Amino acid sequence: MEKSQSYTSKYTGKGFVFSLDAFLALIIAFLFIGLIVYNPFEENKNVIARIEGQRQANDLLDLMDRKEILGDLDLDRIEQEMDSALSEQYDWTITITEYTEESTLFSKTGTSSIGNTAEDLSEKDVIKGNRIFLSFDGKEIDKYYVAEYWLWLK
Amino acid sequence: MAKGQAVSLDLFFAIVILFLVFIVFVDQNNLNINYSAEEIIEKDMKRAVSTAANNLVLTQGTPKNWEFSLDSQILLIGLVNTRRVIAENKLDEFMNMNYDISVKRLGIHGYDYYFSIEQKGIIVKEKYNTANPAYLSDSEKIAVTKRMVEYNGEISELYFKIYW
Repeated sequence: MEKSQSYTSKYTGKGFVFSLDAFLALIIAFLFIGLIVYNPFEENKNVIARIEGQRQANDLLDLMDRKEILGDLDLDRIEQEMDSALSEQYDWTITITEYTEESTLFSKTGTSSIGNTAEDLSEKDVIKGNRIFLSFDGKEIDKYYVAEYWLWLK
Repeated sequence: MAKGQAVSLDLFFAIVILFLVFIVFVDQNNLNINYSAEEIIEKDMKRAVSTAANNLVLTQGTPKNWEFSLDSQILLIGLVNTRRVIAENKLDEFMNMNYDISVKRLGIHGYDYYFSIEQKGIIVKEKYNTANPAYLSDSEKIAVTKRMVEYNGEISELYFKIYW
């Protein structure tokens, strides 16, 4: 009986050392496999989609500014142009902030938002950009505007 | 004798595990090499399509009045005089240019391309390799970019695709 207890205790001790070895070996093996499976190209997939979206939005804001669609603050037309121009994979919102010059300072005198304004952007990987444009009263600058866009993959 | 057996068993397991890891390594490494090659081609195509489209819609080309130059003097095609506003004479010259020469002047050697301008969903200009038109739809590797331009006074969509 005594002999048997002693044998069991000795065996358990050896087993423990073996398990620890095996455990460490397995961790190293998994790390090694993980390293092999990791593909650095995977991360770049969305980068190109982001650049593409930013270029399309910048193109459109430039053209809308040139054609005075922005200056006229024709929000329906802006919304229509954005919807038809941007690829289907993107969702967007634009905020146009109006500034008026008072003596030498600019005061914010209005804000309009269009697009998908209901989306919570805190968790989204958004692409941002802006365009500054002016409206004229005759030959005088009337107001200053900043159109900021947020674009994200649906 | 018992100790010797334990060592042999440990060694046996170690060799089996090492062998399995080695098989996974070789297999996965082959996959990664192929996958990376695919990714590199895809990335190169996206870079090429993006650069060519940028040149088309944002630059006058090189030389600036390339539309009046001999084909051999043209280095780069640009379709605008003002950024994003298509110049009719440059576009006409590009449309009439020999396809193979235009490939070189667009800087997309090795790829075929499809170019179009659409207004409200209708294609108003189109250029591609007419010698092999079916290749575009059959091709597995395509990189596409869309840019917004002003053409004939209207906001239009310029599509530029390259395929391989």
